Amino acid sequence: MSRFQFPWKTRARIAADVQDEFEFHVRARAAELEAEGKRSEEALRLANREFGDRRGAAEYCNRIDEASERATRRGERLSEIWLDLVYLARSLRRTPAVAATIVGILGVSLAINVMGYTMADELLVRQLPVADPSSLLLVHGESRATGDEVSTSIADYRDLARQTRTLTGLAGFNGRVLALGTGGTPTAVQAQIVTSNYFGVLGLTPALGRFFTQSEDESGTAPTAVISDQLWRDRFQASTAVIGTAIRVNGQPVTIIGVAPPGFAGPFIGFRFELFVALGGAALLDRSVDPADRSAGFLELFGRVRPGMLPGRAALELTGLAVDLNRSVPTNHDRRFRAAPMTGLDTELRSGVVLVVMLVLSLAGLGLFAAALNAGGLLLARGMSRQKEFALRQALGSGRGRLVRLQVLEAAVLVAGAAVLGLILTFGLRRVARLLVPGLPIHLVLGFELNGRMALFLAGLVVVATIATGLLPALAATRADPAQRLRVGGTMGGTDGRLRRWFISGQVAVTFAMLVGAGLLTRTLLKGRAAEPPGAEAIATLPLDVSFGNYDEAAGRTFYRALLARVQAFPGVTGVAYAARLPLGFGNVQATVQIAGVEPPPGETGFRVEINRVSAGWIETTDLPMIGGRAFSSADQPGTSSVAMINQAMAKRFWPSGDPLHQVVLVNGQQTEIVGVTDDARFTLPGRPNLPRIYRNGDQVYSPRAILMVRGPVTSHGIAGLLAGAIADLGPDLPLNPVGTLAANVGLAYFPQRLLGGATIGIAALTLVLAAFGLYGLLAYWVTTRRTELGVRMALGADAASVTGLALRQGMVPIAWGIGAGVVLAVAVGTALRGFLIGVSPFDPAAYLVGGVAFLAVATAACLIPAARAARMSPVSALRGGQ
Amino acid sequence: MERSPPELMQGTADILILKAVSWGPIHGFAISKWLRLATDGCLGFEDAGLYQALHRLERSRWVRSEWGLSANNRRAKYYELTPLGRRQLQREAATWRNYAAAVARVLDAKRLEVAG
Repeated sequence: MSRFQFPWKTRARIAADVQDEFEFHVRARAAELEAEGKRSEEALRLANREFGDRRGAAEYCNRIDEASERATRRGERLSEIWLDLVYLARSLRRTPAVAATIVGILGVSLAINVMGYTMADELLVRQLPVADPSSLLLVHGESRATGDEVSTSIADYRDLARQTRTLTGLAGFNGRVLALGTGGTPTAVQAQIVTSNYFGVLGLTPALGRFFTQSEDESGTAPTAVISDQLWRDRFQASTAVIGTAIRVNGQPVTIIGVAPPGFAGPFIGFRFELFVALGGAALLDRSVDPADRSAGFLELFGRVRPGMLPGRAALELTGLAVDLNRSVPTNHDRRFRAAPMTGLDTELRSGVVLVVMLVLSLAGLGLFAAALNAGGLLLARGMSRQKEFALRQALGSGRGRLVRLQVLEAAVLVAGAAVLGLILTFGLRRVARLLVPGLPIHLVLGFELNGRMALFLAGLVVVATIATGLLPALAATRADPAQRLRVGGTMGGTDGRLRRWFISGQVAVTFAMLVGAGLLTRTLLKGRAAEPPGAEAIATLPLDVSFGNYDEAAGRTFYRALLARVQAFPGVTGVAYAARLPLGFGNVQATVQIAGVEPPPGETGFRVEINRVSAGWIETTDLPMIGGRAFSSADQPGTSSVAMINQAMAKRFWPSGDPLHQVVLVNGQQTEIVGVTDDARFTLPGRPNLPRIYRNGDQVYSPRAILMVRGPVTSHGIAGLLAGAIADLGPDLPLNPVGTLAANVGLAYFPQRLLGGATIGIAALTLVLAAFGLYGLLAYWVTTRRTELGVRMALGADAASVTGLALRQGMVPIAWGIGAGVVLAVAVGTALRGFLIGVSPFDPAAYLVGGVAFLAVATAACLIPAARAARMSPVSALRGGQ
Repeated sequence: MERSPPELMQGTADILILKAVSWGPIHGFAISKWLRLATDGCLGFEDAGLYQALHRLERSRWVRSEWGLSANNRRAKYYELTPLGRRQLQREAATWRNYAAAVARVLDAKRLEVAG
């Protein structure tokens, strides 16, 4: 019987074996020589000489044997892992519910994380498909006085582009919707009117045809256009014959000269521009454009920094140029320029997007954390039921390392399954995410493409989830001494039970915080609903722009008047009007108002107030209450005296004691009489100040653009069809925009809240389910292990209620701890969400209450099931240890 | 493992050792003794080389080894042929016989009249 040896040989052991082998040979040979009559020393010497280079041979043999040993070990490890996998497959088949639950919860949370990441990737990580985007700068013009962004006039742009030395090129664009006609009803496309060097500065080469030359900047040249690859495929069947053909843009013939490279759709992420028209054609497509007017802002600018030049220098130089420009052009008295990296997102929008994305990612991370804790808890619970099996394996010589490896491997298999499920769900969730993106009036694209970076992100999550799910429970389950765990009736040591309770408490905390976050955002959205005009779902909206048809003012007025009359007669329509902007819509436009007797702020000629332009019937259509005076009527016409309405905030601001009615003010330099005061509470987002606002009369002040609002049976699709017919009849050369509702438009203002709210509610629901699972598991396990004790209690006369109570108490302790920690976490979540809570405090008691009640309801249900089962046990069978 | 045409030293040693272990477990000393007898000492080589060859053959999985007790009760390492090694021996032996036969034919040949 040889002494016990490890199956694996050490380096020293290998060397000793080689020496033993050689020694045997030499001694055997020496014995042979001795038998032939040699003296023993002589025999040994001869045998050694015959053997040859013993040291060299030993070195060689050691090296070879060590290599063999390594190969053997590798082979054994592989076969062990194979055995583990076979074992795993069997145990997973034995407890499919546990496996399915773990894969399910981890899969859903991985999917949410991947979604969050693809959003971040799309909006923040991916670069514009242009040459060397890092040397491109967006150049914003802004007002020194107010800081508002100001577009640059065409004449100013020409001066700047000629004078700049820090930029190798300064280009400009004007984004707008244009009506594209290629036969039949024209369609609205997102377009940019661009300077001739636009594509050159971006460093692009045409996929087909050519880009613009400098002569195409000159006003009066025949308009030319470059189309996007997408438009080329969709509208022109990717035909090469498209180059040189004429299309109609806003009713004017425009020649297509080139196709942009695939993937390029303008300089902004998320927006898709399909048509690029050379600057020279601008005045033909839009009568209001005057290339010589320095006060008419038209272009947004960007440039490419000269190599070796710092971006800061470019900003300084442009500001200097602007000062010179201001000196020679008095209308530009307060213009300056600011340069920002061209990331594809507007600078201010970007900071908001970063915040939303970070929040979504952190919330998703918290959700995954809760899911991994839970999956780990489930494995831990099963680990406990496998205590004896593990103890036996350990006692039989299985190393702890191998047992831990088995559990980590198990977790890895489950997490891998979850990753596959997560990817499948991501594809499914993409549709849901697109639904969350409301029907924007512009074409916003969220592609949610899967790419290599995302795969890397997912791989990282998988590793972390595997460790969280597998390693911790494995270490806990194999820690205690096997002998103790093998004893009859032996249960988990106190530390492991505590570990499990910690799991539950942590989960309760995360869940509670998520529920409060979801509650806060839901309350914000509900408050937003309250700000809508009543029946906003029943108000159809349709943006119109007669400049698409190149109408002059007289033709435009005729069109609007005829359209209102036609729509008024539609069945079911109770109100029709138009306005420049919708209530609670994006952006605001300001007018300068001068009021007799009220001193304007220093350096200003008047007060800046919000302005809207509305037609007669607008008050009735939107159902906005009048506080005093009258609404616009059909008697107010271009020929009659100019009239305006103001809101309460404006009345209070400028006439705190007097009566604003019949006061005459200067609006943008034009004398206007105030005839009415409107309620303002409704058209202001909750929690935002009511800003002074003035409504000019749309029938008196002409603009080619307006949004038609129709109160009537929108849902029946009747209005949309009738409107399309009316426009095709009255303005056949106008593109037909999609008909929306006022409610959808108001919803747009809450887009970030809806996105965040959707994510938070999803994650909160997930964590709630997880916590319920966890609590159920905890109590079910407790009832199983205490079966004997409960049996004794019942045999001694404890009634069902007291047994149920005893079991419930087991669940309530970790819940109490968890809610305590959850309140702290919820305050953190609320504070992080603060910027998105409109009119709702981050400590909103209702959200906390709803979160708490929802949580307790689910938690109690999860605890009651096993507690009730404990109470129903028959004491006899419990004591006997059977069912 | 690549097969190269038998080089005189290593190739020869390998095939002879494979043959030596082909009758069952045998220790290095016995192999050495048998080789000396079988070749009448014509192909004698150092025992150090024999052991290097044995370990190399084991790494190639043509032979396997086990520690056992020798006839006079000493601990000794015994080698035997693996199925892989048996196939290798057959292949090598065939190659060797062809080689030897070819060389012998050439050496016994008469002068050839080459047509042309």
